[in-house]
Amino acid sequence: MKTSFSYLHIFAIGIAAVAAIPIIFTLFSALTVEPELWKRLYDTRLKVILPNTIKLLLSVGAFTLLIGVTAAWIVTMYDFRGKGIWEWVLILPLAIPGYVLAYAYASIMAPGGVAQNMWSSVFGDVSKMPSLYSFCGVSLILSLVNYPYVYLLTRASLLNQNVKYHEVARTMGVSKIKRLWSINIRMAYPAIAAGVALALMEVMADFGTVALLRYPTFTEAIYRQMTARFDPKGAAALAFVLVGITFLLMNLERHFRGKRSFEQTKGSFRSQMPKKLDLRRTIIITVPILFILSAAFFVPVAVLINMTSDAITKGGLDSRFIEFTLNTIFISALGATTASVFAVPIAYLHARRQGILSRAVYYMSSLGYSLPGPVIAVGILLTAAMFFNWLYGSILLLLMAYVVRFMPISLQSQDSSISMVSRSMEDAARTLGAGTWKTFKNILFPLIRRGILAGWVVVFVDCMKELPATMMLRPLAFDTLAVRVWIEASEALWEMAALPALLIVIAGLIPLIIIIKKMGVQNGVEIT
Amino acid sequence: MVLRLHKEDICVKETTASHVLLKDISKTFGGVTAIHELTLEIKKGEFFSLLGPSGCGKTTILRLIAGLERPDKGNITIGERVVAGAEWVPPEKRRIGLVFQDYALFPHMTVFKNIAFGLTGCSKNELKQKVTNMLDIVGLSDMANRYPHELSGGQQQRIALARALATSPQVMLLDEPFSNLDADLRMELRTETRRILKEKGTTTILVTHDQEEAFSLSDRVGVLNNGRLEQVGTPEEIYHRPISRFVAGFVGRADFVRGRIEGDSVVSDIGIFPLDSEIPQGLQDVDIMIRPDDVDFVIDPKGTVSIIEAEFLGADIIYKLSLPNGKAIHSIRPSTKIFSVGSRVSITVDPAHIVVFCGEGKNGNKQV
Repeated sequence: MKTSFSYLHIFAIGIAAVAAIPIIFTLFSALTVEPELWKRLYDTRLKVILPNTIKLLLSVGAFTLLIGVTAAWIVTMYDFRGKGIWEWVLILPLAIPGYVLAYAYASIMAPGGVAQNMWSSVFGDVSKMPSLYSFCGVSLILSLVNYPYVYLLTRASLLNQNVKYHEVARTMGVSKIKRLWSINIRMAYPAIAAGVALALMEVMADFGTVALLRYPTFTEAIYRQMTARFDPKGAAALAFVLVGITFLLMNLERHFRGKRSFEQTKGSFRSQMPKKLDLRRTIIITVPILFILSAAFFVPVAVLINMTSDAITKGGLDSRFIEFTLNTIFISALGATTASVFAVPIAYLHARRQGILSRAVYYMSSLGYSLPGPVIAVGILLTAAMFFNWLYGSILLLLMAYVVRFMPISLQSQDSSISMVSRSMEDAARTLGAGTWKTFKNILFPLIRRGILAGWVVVFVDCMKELPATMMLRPLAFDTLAVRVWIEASEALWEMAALPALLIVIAGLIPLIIIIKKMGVQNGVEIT
Repeated sequence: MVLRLHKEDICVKETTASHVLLKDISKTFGGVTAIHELTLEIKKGEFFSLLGPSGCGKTTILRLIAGLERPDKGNITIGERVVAGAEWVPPEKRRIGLVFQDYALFPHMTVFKNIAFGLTGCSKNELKQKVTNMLDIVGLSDMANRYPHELSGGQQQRIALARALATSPQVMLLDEPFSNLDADLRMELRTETRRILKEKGTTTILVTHDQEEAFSLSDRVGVLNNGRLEQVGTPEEIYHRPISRFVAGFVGRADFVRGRIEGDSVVSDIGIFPLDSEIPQGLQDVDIMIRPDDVDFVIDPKGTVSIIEAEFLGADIIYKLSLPNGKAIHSIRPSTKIFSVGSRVSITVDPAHIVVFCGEGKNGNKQV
């Protein structure tokens, strides 16, 4: 259909502008930074955080690669008792934000904590105990939190490999080892790389873990530049560099994701038969899985539950806690609803009215997802200071940050749901006398409702977990669960943080269950 | 060089009033021309088919008539009203029915609600009566409360037709509605669909790539190629008097044999055929179109023609015959008697219509 300009377009362009202006504004103000400031920033900040960040990216990259690929390999290539459970449980660490995992470990490794007590009873000297507040600690925590990205994509890719390539290779007389390497691994390459790139983008965006464990990186530096030094220009300059690195990673991910199309098989599809394992091998193979899962999920959750029950008996379930919870639910629901509603026209135009304008609007609105929270917060603060100072300290700025950061999730989920509805469905409604609005309301909307809802839930939970932008933009005394966890944990008030942290983890499990359900359906068929 | 000496000798069975008129319609998609300056007139109550290979633009024409696409140039008139071009009438205001290739039944609505979707502004009782009536017409009265996914392909097709018919459209558009059905069911539903639409007197435009379907259903057929209308005519005209080599080849198997004009006849290796109408002065070398059903043969050990291939089709066999000049032609014979490959035969060619094309590759044609 010839693109006809409509109110829909105006609405969509308006939203895209709101989503993109803070980012563009930040980048522009970074470009006006004087060389002296750059130099000062380099001496005081970049000299430390740049190598810190690179070291972290390399080590987390290596760890997530190792854990993710091994786990994916085990659950796709072998058939053993308990596999059906491990396959899904291996995703669960995604429910735990980095700062919660860091806090859980910090609490048990602190004086009086379980881990420190155990160390002193075994080795004696506590001062020789490895510290969590170190490069190794940060690196391990971020790897445990982010390996599921590599695991998920690699697993999907391995499952999607058609056994016929193996059979072809066999008929050509290729040895088993060579087949595994040159077919399975090589075909999964792009997926593995995309997974690592995603994990690394999360590392770039992480604020809570590095700030809690006092390992300075970009996000933490931007936060301090903005809140402690009130230096928006410096913050914008640092954000500029951070965005540069993130875009590099994002393009890497896009590049590899594009290549993944070569694994899609047409025609008859049979996946490889996993190899059955006997009891002894089952045990051998389950041990590493259990080890990873204990470190990434079971131990921290047990710690949280244990501390929570202590906290509750000491009266942690007070009116203040209820207030944080209500605040969190309120702002997250508001954020998710706004993002979902705003996404509808953009996703609709993108899926149904192909054209440069629709694509540009869609792309602009998707910018925020790859950007770390502090960058978005700086952008919004700069924009507000320039155009609408009166908004400062109101809940609208925080809401705006959530929309900029998380609307891309709604967009993606709605866009793919709309694409799954045959276009002739809407055409049929039009020829039967229904106008644009009635067609949307009666045909398209009922068919994509689930997609919209799924996107809403994911955004809701992401808003709940969001820490840096919330810290920088929240109205005075407006605390959310995430903010409370961070504040209490930074003050080493371990028990006070337990209940909100546990709630965040429980909420985080909801979107994972949705993902697992979707994947369960996909297990029967071939699509990614 | 294009020779077109087409004799309009077929009388039109329908009323002569034009119902759908496309005038000089052009449409491009991202620089690719889908329809090029196409003019087409469809009469009231007519069953018209647009026939062509995939990608020829036939579905685009349907979507243009429906208002789901806007033409870049030209006018579309339905009845008395200009709907595209000088004015624009959106699809929901055009009073047309469209049956989609994938039926496009709304999956979240029952059969009843699907059919009732286009019926607005009538009371509950009226609605119920109208839907029941439509279900009776397509013979699925007991399916009202089913969901589309609970229906078979044939049932879905009928419901799609019922839904499109329910609003009493002036024009019914069918976009390859039978292509997803099994052969048996396809035959049955074709005849039934034609019967229903003819009874209602609805002007119908069918899009198809299946010439058998177009021929068996339509009053007239338009053959499309590369966004241009090659020929419009009755099925008989299209088959026996194709106006271009493309049409000749697309609507059935055709061989082309070199011939030479001599006076009132055309002389060729396989016989001399009389011409009975004017041909341009100076034309000498032509190609004669021969259909397999024009060629007969008998076993003749002294014959100069031999069978080089036999293609068994069930009721019939198509033989490929090699002529003394090295060219091949085809002959279709009932499979009650089977001739073996390698046999020597002598042939008689008796075309009902002599169609000649001038020059190599030119789209000239001459009918006798």
